Amino acid sequence: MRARFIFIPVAAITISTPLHAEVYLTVEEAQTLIFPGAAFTEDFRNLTNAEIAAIKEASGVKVENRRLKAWRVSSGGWFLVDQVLGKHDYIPFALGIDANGAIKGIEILEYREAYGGEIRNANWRAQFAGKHGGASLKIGKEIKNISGATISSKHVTDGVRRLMATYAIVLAER
Amino acid sequence: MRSKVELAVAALFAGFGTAAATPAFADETPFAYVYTTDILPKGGMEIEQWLTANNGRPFESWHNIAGRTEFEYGVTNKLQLALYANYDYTRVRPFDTRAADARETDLKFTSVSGEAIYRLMSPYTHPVGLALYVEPAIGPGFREIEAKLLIDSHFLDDRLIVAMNPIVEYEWEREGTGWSKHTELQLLLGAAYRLAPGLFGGVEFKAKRELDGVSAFGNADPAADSFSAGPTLHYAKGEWWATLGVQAQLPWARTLNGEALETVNGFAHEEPRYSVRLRFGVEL
Repeated sequence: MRARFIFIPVAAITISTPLHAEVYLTVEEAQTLIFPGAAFTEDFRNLTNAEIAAIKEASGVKVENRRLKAWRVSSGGWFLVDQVLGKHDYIPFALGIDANGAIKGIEILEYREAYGGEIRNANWRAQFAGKHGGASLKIGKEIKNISGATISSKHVTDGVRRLMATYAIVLAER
Repeated sequence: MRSKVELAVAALFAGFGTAAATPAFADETPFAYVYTTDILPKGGMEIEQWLTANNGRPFESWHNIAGRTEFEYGVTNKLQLALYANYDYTRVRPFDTRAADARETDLKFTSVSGEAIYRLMSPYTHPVGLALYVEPAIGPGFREIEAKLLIDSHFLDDRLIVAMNPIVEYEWEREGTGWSKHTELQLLLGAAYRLAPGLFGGVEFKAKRELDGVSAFGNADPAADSFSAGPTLHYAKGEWWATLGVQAQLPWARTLNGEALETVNGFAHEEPRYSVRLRFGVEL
């Protein structure tokens, strides 16, 4: 018996769906959120090969960009911007480090993935506050996984650990 | 007598029963044929369309296009269910008396399938990801059940993905007043590397054993082994993704039941010489 049918699906999947590309914060807005009232002095620099190797060694995460985007904060500390890969695309984020070298806050600047946007949840991001980096700053250890947003939460955590290693190796006063 | 490989694949499924049919797809993976443990999060929905063009059988001009339209839903962050329709177009023109198929041009609906994937471990939080897959299918004069283990692991900050699927598949096809029964044991291997954000390139390999009968344990007779391999390319952006994979049969096929035409010049008769698969998915 031959059953004729209609190819419905091609039409169905061409229906446009809402885009999830979201710019949540500009760099200036993130600076104000993490360090209210402070002034910022741009201090971008290029990492040396030795620094890149040391950061990889300390954090276990590959350095993707030699250019370090860092700002000195008038109240002490640093404001850093970096990005990590999500499922498909990069997730730009900002990290504030206080004068004692502890995490003051993180902010997600943009998110372009269809799923996993829960990493913007304030309670999840609050887990980072006061931490000093190190090998235990990982999903499943000091940081809880977000079920259903595992990739994004893992990669952002890895990115924060990388930036904390960068701070310790390149920026911290010796 | 069953081979050790055959028994090993079958044994992998002994603990969770049997299942499923022709290939289907979990959630987005960088592979065209191999499944990974990636599934939709709770409440996530996706429509997926795939088309596979199969070509080449001995002694005949044989072209087949198999289509599948799938709707997937994330029930929990560990359980994904799917429902899909399968259909295909086949055109056969024998040019030799030894051809196994008669002249035919046919467009038909073949079956409706259900699919359940339960993830036990994620490769993002464990060294190895592991999920159980089961897929029953039913159609006019056709029944199928397939089970898979989905195993994957990530390296180089999740840039390199390797995956493996041991598969057992039981198939019943109406023949006159009775049913023709078949078993397939497969082992799929894949490796894909993230070349750029959203872009993966990889390779896939398939080893397949066909058996007459519906048991991997003793009542089915091995008919032939076949092997295929080829490249795959995957691109994703936001809510949509597409994967293109090519498989070429390797001239390593072996006849196991003594029938001369099971393999011809090192190629299995039942397997296409070349397959091209395009998958396209949109997350809703």
